[in-house]
Amino acid sequence: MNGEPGRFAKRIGSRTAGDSGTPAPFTRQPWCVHIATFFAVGPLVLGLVLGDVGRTLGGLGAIAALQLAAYCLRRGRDAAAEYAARAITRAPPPWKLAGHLSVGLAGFLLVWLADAQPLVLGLAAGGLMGFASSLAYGIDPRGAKGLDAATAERAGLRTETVLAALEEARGKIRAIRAEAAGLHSRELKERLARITTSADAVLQQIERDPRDLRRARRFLVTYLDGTRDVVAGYRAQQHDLAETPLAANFRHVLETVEKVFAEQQEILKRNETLDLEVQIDVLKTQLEREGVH
Amino acid sequence: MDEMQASRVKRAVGAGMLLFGFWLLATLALF
Repeated sequence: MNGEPGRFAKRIGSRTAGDSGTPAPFTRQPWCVHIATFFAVGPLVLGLVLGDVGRTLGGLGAIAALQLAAYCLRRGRDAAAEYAARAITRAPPPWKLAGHLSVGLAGFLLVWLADAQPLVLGLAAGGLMGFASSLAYGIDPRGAKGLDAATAERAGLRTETVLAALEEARGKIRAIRAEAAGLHSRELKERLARITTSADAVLQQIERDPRDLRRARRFLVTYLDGTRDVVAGYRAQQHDLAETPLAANFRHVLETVEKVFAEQQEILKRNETLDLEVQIDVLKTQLEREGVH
Repeated sequence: MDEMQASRVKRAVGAGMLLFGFWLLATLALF
């Protein structure tokens, strides 16, 4: 029971952080590795002052290896956070492992090259530092998650299909977010933020029950594509379009999209079927009528 | 000690080892 509220709070925190689509670059930085980089400057400077090639190269190599490690570890932590947030996913590439190896290399270079110690001692130091890094930053998540064949079988889908469709939809949501960032209108930005948030929620429901994918796929593709194209088109000419009827049409389209996404979310929750074809036709007709497509 | 505490201790030990280890190695390389 002890620690349960903390875990719950953490889960809520990670969920909201994931939904808003804003990464937390500051907290994902491996700070110990950055500080260790600072230590390695000493041998580098002394090597330059004394004209000692081994010290200079050792210090320089350690700095480079530690910075590479910091990059890999940050990617690894991002990947691990995403892995934790998803219900269905594949194991990420071994970023953290690359980071640990790179930290080990830095330790090895400091001892073997900068300090001119025997090779064995260098390897021992490298191994120790790599081990310390794996303690501090953890190891990569392994194995695919939620990809049991039974679930997919029940859904009549191959897991590859489910993953590919989810990844495609996520990419489109990212594209919409990127386009929305370039809009000047605060109101439209907020509307798009709500749309992408509910699109994320729809994807999460599909992750939980891939049976929904079949029903939702064409809907998601059409609506996300439609929204992205419309937003991109509007963004390109927003200076000329502001306060014109076309801007109002654009707003109407986004209102419809927002409403439909909210409906879709409700429907997936209740596990009912909606005549999605009708919804898709509605959007197409509206896009043509409003002349924004 | 539950799982979360254990992982916190592990992270702290690892961070300490990293900082002390690199400080020591860099200092030794100075002399």
